[in-house]
Amino acid sequence: MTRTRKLLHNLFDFERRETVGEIIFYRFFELVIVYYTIKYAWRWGPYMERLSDIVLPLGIAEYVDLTFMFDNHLGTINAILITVMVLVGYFRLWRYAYLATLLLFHLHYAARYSQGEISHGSNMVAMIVLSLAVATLAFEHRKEIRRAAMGLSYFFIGLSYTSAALCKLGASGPLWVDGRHLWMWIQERTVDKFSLTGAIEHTWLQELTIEYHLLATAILTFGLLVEFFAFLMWYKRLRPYVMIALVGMHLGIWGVMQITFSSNTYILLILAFPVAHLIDLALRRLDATKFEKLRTLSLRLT
Amino acid sequence: MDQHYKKVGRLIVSLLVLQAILVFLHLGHFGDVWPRDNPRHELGEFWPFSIYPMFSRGGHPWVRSHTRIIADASAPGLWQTATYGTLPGQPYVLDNSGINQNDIANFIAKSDSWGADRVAGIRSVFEEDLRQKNLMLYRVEGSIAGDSVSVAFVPFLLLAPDTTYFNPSLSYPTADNIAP
Repeated sequence: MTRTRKLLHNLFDFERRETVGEIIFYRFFELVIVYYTIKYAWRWGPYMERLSDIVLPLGIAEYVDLTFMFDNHLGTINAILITVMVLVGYFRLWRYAYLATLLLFHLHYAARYSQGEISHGSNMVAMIVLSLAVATLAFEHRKEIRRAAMGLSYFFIGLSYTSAALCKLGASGPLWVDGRHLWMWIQERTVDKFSLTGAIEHTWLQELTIEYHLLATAILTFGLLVEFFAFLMWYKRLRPYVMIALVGMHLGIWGVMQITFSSNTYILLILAFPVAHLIDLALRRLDATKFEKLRTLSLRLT
Repeated sequence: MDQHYKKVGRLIVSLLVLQAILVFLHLGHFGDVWPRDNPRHELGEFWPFSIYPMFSRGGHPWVRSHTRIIADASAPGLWQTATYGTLPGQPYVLDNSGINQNDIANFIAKSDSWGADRVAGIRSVFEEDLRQKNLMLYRVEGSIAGDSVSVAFVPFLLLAPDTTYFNPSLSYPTADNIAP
């Protein structure tokens, strides 16, 4: 087996028989993505009503003046459209629904974040929507669609974190891990928190980090290594360990910098553990009639 | 099965090519990573495609913002650079108004022009609160100073109910005076 074939096999594994647990887990995972898509759509849409100017055009905003989305209800209307489209995709009512969701979502993001901030908190959700869209359009049968969507999701999640590590090395070199850099970001976040709440507060972990340079350096070293090796999640056997390490990194970012990447953290948590296998084990404990009822229900849902 | 693997292989390559094209055409974040004479220094990427450069510039000075309620807009010393301990007035708590701190910080750090539209844009974010209050927007600058971090609050814009004042000792690029 060639290296590429081995990688594709690890990501997609089309040959393996699909279990009921896998199907139920997939629908749950898809539902989580639907939830976050709707959540972001409604967080950004109404906020656009108070915007009036573009500071830095992003994405499509570099070609189209998106000020028409501001100071009116178009942001909210687009949030409604995204909600409808993503639900249409979830319930398999239209094959192009996830693609339409992604395009509307892009317009939404470009309008909301034209204010100078380039937020990355929603990228993972959108890349998975892209994976769902591409898989739905490229394959006919449900099993292949599910396998392709999951494999593409693993691929792009791993790539994104490794890319983040390469950017750090490209911009700052190995000395990126110098603990004083973490002090800088802690102070930056302190200013942000001060502006948001009116109070200057440090968590115990921030105080420890500020006091011990070595600890700050160790935290950054851990973060850089975990990000760099994130691509190893492409390999099935290493996937749970890599994902749990990434969850640990996100918890560290939360503890030290008070920045939550909540959708990333929850998605990684869901994907890290063998939930499908646990569902199968639980189903095996049921008697035959109940199992059959559940199987029929899951087939109806999927 | 081979067909399926060939198909996903082609899909991955196509999406990577698309990502590369979109990221290269929207060079902004390469400006963050390798900031050498990139005229589009801080411009974006093509969401959700990105090279994920957040926190890549370790140790580089940063600029954020802080907003305060100022009772007397003509008080002496109002335009002097301050520290946490010497800031005048009261904090304007952004959480209470549902305003995103990043938006204000980026308005201040990344605006390359301060024409009438930009001023109207920042005023519209604060909406009704500007009918009764003077709000001072500080440009907060952080940098490494030896074994600690120095944080300076530079007065930037004073948003009064009926007008806007710029810090008289700073120069601002406006639509009229920036080079085309």
